[in-house]
Amino acid sequence: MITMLITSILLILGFVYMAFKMFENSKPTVESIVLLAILVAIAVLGRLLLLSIPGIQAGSFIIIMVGVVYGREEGFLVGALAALVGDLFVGIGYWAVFQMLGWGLMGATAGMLAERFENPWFRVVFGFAWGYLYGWITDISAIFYTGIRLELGPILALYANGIAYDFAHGMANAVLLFVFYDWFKKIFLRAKTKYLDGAEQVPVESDSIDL
Amino acid sequence: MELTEIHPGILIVYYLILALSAFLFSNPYYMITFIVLMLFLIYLQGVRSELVNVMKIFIPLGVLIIIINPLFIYEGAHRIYLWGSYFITLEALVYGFLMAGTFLIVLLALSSYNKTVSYQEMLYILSKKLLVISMVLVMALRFIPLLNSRAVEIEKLFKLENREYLNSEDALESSSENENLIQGVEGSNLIQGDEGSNLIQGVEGSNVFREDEDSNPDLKNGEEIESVPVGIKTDSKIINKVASSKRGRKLIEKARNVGNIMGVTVSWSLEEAMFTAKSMKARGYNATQRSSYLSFHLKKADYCFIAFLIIVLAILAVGLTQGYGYINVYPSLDFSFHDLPLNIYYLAFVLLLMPLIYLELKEVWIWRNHS
Repeated sequence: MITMLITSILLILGFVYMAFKMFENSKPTVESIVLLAILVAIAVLGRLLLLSIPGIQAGSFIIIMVGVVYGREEGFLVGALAALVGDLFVGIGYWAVFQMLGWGLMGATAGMLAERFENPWFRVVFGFAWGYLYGWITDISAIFYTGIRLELGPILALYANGIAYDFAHGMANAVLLFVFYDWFKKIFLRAKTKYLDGAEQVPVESDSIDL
Repeated sequence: MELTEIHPGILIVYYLILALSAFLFSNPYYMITFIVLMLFLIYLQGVRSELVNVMKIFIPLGVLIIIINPLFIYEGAHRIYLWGSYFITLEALVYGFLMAGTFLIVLLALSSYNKTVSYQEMLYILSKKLLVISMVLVMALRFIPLLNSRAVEIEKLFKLENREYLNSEDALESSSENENLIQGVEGSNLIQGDEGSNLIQGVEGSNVFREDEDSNPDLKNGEEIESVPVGIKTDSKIINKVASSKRGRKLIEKARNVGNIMGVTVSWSLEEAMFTAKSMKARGYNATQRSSYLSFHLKKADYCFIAFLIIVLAILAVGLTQGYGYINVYPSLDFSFHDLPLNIYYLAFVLLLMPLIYLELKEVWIWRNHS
């Protein structure tokens, strides 16, 4: 069991590290770095704002929206980093690795399915499903305490324990995605046009600065 | 931890070893020693408030681990018949307790770790490999308090804008005071309040609010109208359908509140972040190689620490291969409380847990005698 835990953590860490390294090697502009940082901060705040209510949080919503508007790479990065930064606030543990994977994949899949998000029912299903998927991914970190080897019974019992919590999470996602999708898409698109599309033109103009 | 600094990289490795040994050493004597010494360390580090958080996580999950293990696993030689032919095995029960103990140790070690290694030190380690990512993390950590203060400010404005509040007569009287208060803030160009009902016209730079001004005339009707959220189209039939049930309505109301605050904060912050980026660019970010704010070098104490760890771990590894330190639970429990672990391997195990306690005690001692 312990070897499985270590292997899975190392695998995930390697995966996340590769994603980070890819971002580093793409030589990001200052604008995209700052944008990434502010989006991470927003997602973390969405998570911490409602920390007192179990399961309800707006962080997942932000990450899905980032994935939809900015694409799957940004979605993965923002998700993984937001999990890391949020855990620096509430106390970091080895489960941070699974949270990074869960949120990262949430952002990445949102980016992949971005075109279908115009359909409100798809958004609701997507948000609700990810409430459960995220719970299942993070619950992997607790499986290793259930028995000497992987068996279905204890795992099902463990997962059944999280049903209500994940339901709240999924509902919060679904409601937020249903109600606020258009507005947040507008906000993020505006920033995207202003930051990233504008940044590409800068090297041409930056040789002569008009005062 | 301030007086005798250990290189954070070594500390991270040390805590990894601690977490790993929580899994490896399943002898109850070792586990109890582990728990007691970790509690002592946490007491010395002064994170007793952290203990409450640890217990909040541990008690529900620990109880679950203890309960589900015997319920689902029927291996083991010693059967305990509860009623009729239904039995659980002693082995499964013991295994549940051992796993709960392991879980507790891991949680305690992590809360101690969070106290010992600050996030700056972790970022220092990270920045060796991932320069841009650690930059993003530092900036995000800075942005969070900033965003929070903005969110609080906007939440205050939403409270003022709330119709029920303004419709009640007492509130109307006090709203003029509030107006003054807000005009005081106006210097920061945040809002341009002119009338009580239109306190928020728009956060500077984002035109989110201005578009929805025409939703305001409803306000004068004294009826209890659901406050039309700013910035969202509410003509959707489905929302009305969900809102008809009381519970759905409450949920939507809550979501609207949070979402509104989030939305304004986000659009405001995205604009501000733009200036940050421009400012960074103007100051020559990425023009040259940057150096780290913190700087650590391996000192004599670090080398002593590494040598100590290697010796202790070697002794423990020998002990593990000879069967000291752990117990076999399946297929039959081979442990009795009479087997006192009085040997060199147990001593090495205690020594493994000692360095940080020694450092903390030394710090206390220095404070007492040199002040």
